[in-house]
Amino acid sequence: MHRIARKLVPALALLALVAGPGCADRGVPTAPAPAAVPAFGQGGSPNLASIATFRQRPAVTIAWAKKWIGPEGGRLDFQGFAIVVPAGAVDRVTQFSISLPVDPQGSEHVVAEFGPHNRQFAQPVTVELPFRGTSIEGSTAPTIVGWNDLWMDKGASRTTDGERLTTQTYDLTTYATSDAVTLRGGSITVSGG
Amino acid sequence: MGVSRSESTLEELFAVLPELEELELLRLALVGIAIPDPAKEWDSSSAYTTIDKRIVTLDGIEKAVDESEASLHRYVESLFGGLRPLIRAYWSGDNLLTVRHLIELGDRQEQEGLYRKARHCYDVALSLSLPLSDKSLQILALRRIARVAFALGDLYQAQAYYQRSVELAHDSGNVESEIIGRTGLGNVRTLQGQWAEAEHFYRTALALADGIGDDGALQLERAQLYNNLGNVSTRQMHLEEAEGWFEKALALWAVIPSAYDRAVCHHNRALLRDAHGRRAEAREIYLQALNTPIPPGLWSAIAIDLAESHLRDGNMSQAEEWGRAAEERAIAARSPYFLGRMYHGRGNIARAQADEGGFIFFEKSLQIAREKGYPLLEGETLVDYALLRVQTGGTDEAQAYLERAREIFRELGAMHELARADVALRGLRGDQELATAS
Repeated sequence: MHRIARKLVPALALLALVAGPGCADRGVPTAPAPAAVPAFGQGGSPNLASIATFRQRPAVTIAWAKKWIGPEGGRLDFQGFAIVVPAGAVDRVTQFSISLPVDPQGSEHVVAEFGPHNRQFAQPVTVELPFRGTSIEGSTAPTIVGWNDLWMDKGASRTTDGERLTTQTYDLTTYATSDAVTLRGGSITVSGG
Repeated sequence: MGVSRSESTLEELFAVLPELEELELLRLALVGIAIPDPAKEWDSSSAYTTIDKRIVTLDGIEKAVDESEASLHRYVESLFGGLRPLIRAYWSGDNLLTVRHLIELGDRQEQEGLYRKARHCYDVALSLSLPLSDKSLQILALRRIARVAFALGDLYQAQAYYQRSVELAHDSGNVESEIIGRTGLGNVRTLQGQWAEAEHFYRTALALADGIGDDGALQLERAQLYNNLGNVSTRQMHLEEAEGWFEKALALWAVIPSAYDRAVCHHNRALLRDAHGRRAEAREIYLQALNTPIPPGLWSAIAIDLAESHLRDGNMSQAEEWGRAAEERAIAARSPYFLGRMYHGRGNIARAQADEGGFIFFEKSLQIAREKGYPLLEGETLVDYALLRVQTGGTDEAQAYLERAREIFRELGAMHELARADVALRGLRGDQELATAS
């Protein structure tokens, strides 16, 4: 099981009490809610120090959404976060989910856990995270980072309306936004001599 | 009795080709036509097979043999064409002209990418030039040997020969040669990631050029120095300063016809835009550079940076496309640095896809970096390799790689690269305080 998910199982019980069908899908999933709900700010979970914050903390009453998406593709939107699944990414109907932190420290950050975990898609899926109205809105080098024992730069571009950051990935984990510039040198080319 | 084959890997084919110098062109041609094994496309690890695992067909081999034979004929013709005036100059007792013809003969080899053969010509030119009172040809031979050593990745020799050329040029009052030699010394330091030392050599060269006056003399050398100063300024995150150097360079490249140098300028400007986070703009400039008629090695280096720029914007498919294009050209170029850098970039693309096949790319990059002495490339590859190790659960290995990368960056004085390794290591150790001082 995903490392974060293992740490978050206790949080599920609490979530189960408050979570309703806050799902983008009209139908009620037949499978249980995803077992990968983040407990940000707990020991060993993602360090949020370098993660962007919302200028105005979103009013979230339901902390997660889920949707069944099949081989034809689809999209799950939730609180400015989204997963876009292209046709052919999955070979059978699969439950996708977006979970937000509910603790006071975690919920002010632009971070969410995307599911399912431990699944390699046949085509890259796109994840989108809020950009406008966040602490990095004016940044020249905003990026999306993914958690895998440490934050990894996944790269990001802005959506055409400038509202969100977007990146592609073959697997899902916890994603956040950041403007911590990671200098990368590139090839060395020289003149003369 | 053996089983007939429909194809062969390069590794298998090279094992039966005798180590004859005349077959060098054939080997290079075979490397150029070899392709990844299409029968293994469904095997996830085979997508990342490197040169030795690529395959060739009989048709391809026969075509390569025909082309190599024709090429060898052309080469022999060119060689003997250059040899005749050399012998005539020798016979007439004109030692200066003899040395000049030897260097020209080396230049012909170098233009074909035959660096080792070029080196033989320059070595003879150097030894014949030693007794000459006019030191200009000795200086030129020293510099040519340095240039070939640089291309072959022998940076220690490149440094030694450039250094000797600079000393001799200085002693004989040959300012132009001293400027070019100092530029070469700066280039060696740049490739090693020693930005401050590289900048020192470039600035002293520019000061010499300025001492001559700015009446249009040494325009090419100046523009090359502006390119290089812009590059090392970017690497040290002196971004406004870098912008200024590139503006000066571009003004000169508008009137100097050097496609190679113009492409280098565009490439380094694109890196500057990337450092600013202006990636869409950077990509336009990378494309400008790629649309210039340039050798495959340089093209590959620029293409892999374009691929990584797409990667940073999350455009996976375009990153893969440019990564593959870079690989084709890097293999054709036979330049060890560009090949190593390309493998590093392809490793990053594989890592972004959480693909363990990236291991092979990173290992190849490390092998080249260590064999050829590219410590900066080794350190940068180790940092990215560590991230892949973390993804696959190899935390201990990742920590060891990052610690080694830190040592390398500290030795080089590459502070920004050191900071990047520190960030990763700190994340891995759970925010433990790192002693960044040496």
